[in-house]
Amino acid sequence: MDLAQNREHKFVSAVMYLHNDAAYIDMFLSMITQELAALFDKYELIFVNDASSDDGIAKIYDFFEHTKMDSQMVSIIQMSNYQGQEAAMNAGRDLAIGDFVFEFDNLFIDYPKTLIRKIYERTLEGYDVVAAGCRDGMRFTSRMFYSVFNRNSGSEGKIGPETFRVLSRRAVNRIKSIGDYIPYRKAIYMNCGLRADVIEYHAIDIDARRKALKGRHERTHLALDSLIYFTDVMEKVSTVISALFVVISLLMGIEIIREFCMKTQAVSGWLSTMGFMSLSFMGVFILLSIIMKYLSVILKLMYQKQRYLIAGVEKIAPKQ
Amino acid sequence: MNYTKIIIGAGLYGLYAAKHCGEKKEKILVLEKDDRAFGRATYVNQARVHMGYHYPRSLSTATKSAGYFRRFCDDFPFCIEKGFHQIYATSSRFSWTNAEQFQSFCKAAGIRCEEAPVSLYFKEGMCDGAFLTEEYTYDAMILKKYFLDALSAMPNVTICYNAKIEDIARYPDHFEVHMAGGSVYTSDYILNATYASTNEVLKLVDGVSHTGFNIKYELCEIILTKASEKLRGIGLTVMDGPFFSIMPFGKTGYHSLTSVSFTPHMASYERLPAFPCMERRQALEGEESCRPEQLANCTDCPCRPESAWPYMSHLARKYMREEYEFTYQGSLYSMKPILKSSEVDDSRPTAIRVNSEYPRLVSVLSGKINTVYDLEEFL
Repeated sequence: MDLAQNREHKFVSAVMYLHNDAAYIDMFLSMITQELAALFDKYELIFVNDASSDDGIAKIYDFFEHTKMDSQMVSIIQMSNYQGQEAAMNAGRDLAIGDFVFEFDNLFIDYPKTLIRKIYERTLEGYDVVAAGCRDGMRFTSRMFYSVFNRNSGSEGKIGPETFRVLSRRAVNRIKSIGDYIPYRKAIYMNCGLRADVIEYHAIDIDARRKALKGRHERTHLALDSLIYFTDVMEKVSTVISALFVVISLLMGIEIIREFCMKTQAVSGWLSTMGFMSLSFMGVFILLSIIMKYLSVILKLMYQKQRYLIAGVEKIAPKQ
Repeated sequence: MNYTKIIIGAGLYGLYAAKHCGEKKEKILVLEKDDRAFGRATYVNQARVHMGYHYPRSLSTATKSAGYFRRFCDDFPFCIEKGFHQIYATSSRFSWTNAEQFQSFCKAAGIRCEEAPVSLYFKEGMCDGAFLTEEYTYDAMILKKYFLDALSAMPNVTICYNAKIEDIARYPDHFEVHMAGGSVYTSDYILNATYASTNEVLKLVDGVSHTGFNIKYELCEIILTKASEKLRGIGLTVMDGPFFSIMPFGKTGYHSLTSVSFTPHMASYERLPAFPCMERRQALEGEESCRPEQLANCTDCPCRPESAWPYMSHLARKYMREEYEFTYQGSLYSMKPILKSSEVDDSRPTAIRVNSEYPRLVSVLSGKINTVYDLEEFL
């Protein structure tokens, strides 16, 4: 059968994160252009260049110099300075116009290319968010993070390491209406209230995957922020600490009462001083817990502003 | 044959000049490359009578547009369509201007800008402000008929279609225009009102080609759509960056759909427009059909690019509420020259340049119809 007849009459966007990924660009581009052209009538590619210092962008221009393309097909968003994967990909998703938006957080390919079709086909079964996840070669810290996160987010959607994903336009709209600030996409996507799914795969080459991931920035800040923003882990931790001190103060109080009854006062004035102190500290710790609660609520109301800065959007013109 | 003035290009600027001078009883010849007047940029554009809203980063362009807006509407009321709400909105993402800045800009320019409910027109979260503005659209074909009727009543004005100029010889006191058919016309005044072909014409004249404009060329597509009942009385323009506009196209009943990122298909930074599609056209219809030195009409071209409808419609639907529907009717293409100096502030000055004092050669380059009055002091 003619391949063209097999194509979906859909328009899709693919958003790619780029930060010193020049080594993977050629392979990725030939894979993605082939796969998307085989699957869809029309598509656009949006590269978000997060202050790369290598020749990745030149490689993209180079590739399209020798490839047949629509004049409107390829955009490059130049971030003003390094702003990290989350902000950059938010910018990319905001520019995308497709019925479906693919998000590639990494350009290295450690999956069979049929996975792109598989992920897309899953959306046709009624899923608005479908991710391709891979647990191979995961770092211990990442594993810890996901486990703490999933246990405490109190929501249905569990998150894990994802290589790429596809969102329906409906999901993109929903995400937009949830809030302006999206500090951690995965968490929002998986919990936007629409059906979400993850298709797990095994890396073709685990060592290559480890190597590719190794170059990535450690995202400790993001992990901590996400835990604060999406889970009540920190709240719980602070409550436990406060409770602990309340208990200590209480024990101290009991000890004072015991000494008072037994009349074994070591130094004169000790009883009244300690009594006052343990009572006050107990009050302070209880107050602290209340303040923590307020803070967490205020935190969720903040961050209404634009959260990324772009330097410009470029279009690549066809040469053929 | 000798003429008081020879005008090259039968677009709005050319015909306006012809009428203006014809009324002074001057003997005028208009040379038009196509087989019709208003065949290119005068017709193939958004048909906006600019009030200045489009230039929130160039107050000078804005105030100038606003000044000429009234005059144009008063002079040519028969071709102006006013029966719709023109809404300008600022995109909440990727815009170089936000709602507040747009408002204060309108205030500074002294143009109407009333806040409108964003959610009435746009999907949630897409725009941070929407404003009801005063801006109209003109019908190029009605305007053309008006000019052609007026000119045909003037025996002193001749319009020559399918006119291919081979060479323009410059003598101390006159120009000699040599046509492809062998005819020769002389005059001591030439007005070059050919927009995208301005540099092309200047190249034909001895010793003036260096006075050409520093421009980049964009091959642009305007899409004509049929608007649904709800959209019919509305024009929407989302600012200020890679966005779109859908608004009535004169009195045709169509809505034009354009977008900043998808309307230009290709760009050329050469002195004369050089595009890969020219080679395809030449292979099809011979070397003379279209080349940088002899740009043909892009709307009529068999090698025009494939429509960007899938892109533009998706962009528009991403913003607009579902009930505002529109369907594809056709595409118009034209070459658009943009002064390189105006890329950052996105200004669109009307550039008028005297390329030769005597014999006089004047070139005009303007992207807006209502600044046509700028021409008068040079005629």
